[in-house]
Amino acid sequence: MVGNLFGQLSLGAGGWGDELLSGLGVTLKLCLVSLPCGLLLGLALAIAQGTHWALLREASSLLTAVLRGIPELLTLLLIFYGGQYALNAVTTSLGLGIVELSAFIAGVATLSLIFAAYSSEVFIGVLRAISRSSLEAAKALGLGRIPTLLHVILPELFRLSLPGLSNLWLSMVKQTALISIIGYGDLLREAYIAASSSGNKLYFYFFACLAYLAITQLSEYAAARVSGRLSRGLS
Amino acid sequence: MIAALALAGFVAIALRSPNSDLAETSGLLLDGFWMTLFIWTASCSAGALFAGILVAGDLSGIPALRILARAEITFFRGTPLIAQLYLVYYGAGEISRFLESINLWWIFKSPISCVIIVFVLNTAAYQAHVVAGAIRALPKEQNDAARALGLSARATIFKVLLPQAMIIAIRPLANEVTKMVKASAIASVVTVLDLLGTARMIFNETLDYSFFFIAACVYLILIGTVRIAMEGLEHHLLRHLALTAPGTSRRQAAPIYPA
Repeated sequence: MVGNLFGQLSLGAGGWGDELLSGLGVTLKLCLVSLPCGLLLGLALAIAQGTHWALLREASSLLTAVLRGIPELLTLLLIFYGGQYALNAVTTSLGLGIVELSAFIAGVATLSLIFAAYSSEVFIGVLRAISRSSLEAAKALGLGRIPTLLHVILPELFRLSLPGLSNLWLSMVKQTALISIIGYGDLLREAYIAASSSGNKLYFYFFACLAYLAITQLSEYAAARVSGRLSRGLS
Repeated sequence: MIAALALAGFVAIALRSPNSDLAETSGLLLDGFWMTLFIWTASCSAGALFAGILVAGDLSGIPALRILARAEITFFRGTPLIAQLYLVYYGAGEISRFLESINLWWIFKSPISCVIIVFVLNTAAYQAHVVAGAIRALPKEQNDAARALGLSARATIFKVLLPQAMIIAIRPLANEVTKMVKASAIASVVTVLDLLGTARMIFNETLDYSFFFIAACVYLILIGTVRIAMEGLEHHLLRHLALTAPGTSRRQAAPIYPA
């Protein structure tokens, strides 16, 4: 069994390499789809915190508090089972029968919502920190609202929020592992299947951990590089 | 807000379907709640102790210790907690024969102790990363001044560096403690009956969805309380910085080091 260590990882029928690789792809797909959704929603929540409408303010702060206050696994289960129940209620009342809620959609929804809740905090802090003088200078130059947004606010926002957001990205990569609980075939799920079938549990779980480690270390390095590049020329 | 959540909790209890027995399930859920509290407090406190060892290793002059400490911190911060749990829980089962021979199998046999071990290693990595980073953020002059005064290494660390580093570190550490409450729910994946585990078990038997809501409300109340407690602790420990004295705005207090 020990001699077959590399054979276990081979692609194709004999080894588990192709399943694990597909699991890795699923994990990356989950992260890359959830990231823009989470960013947009987080920005929306941050802006909602600054509006005049008390209802919008309270609703967004309640949503943020709930999403940050319950375990991610519970959020996933709530969305997965609750979503299925809600979907059943809607489709049966419309006479359409049972439509299955894809675990992928539940996973993306969960990851995006959690990312949005935390990133709204980052954005609120950053939006406050964007210097008034930049905005006044833009006004003095006669820039309208859209050009100000595009050329003054957004670059500054991106640069200042990158450290906080990169931490959230790392958390999200690790949270994708939770989706294996509802049986979706991500990296950890494939490792679980491989480990249970072959009995080489230490080997496959260690491999999965190393794969996650590779993703997180690469992300940290990339974020540091981008952050350094963006701060070029600033003291 | 907490009142609203408590109200939601009572609504959830009221709405549950009639085929679940309230007395029995509330007893189970209460046991789950104590289990969550136990896992959280045990792993955070033992994790803090182990983090002290890791920080000592990380800052020591011996390269081997530094590499070991950094490896542990990088590994446990860079991989998901659930993957770490699977690795230790199922992996120990695989090498149980070997562990029996060195008389360590009894620790890894029970799911709860496996969970505690993994959680301790995990939170220690995060805590050590924060504290080591805070110590490294101090100006080098502090160390030099302590040397000039002839202070021993132990006195330097405990009387000079650590009190100042803790000022920086206390907010992230409080966040980590709060995060561990949520992380404790992951114990449910290896059949530990904490609050989430109990809720899932009851749901699997009754298919009554409201138990997730009840669990959610309890977690919200718990985390809200923990957060308020942490803010109070931070306020108390940093009271000498006069952060909220009249005339000073928050976080723009008197400088820690004379400029």
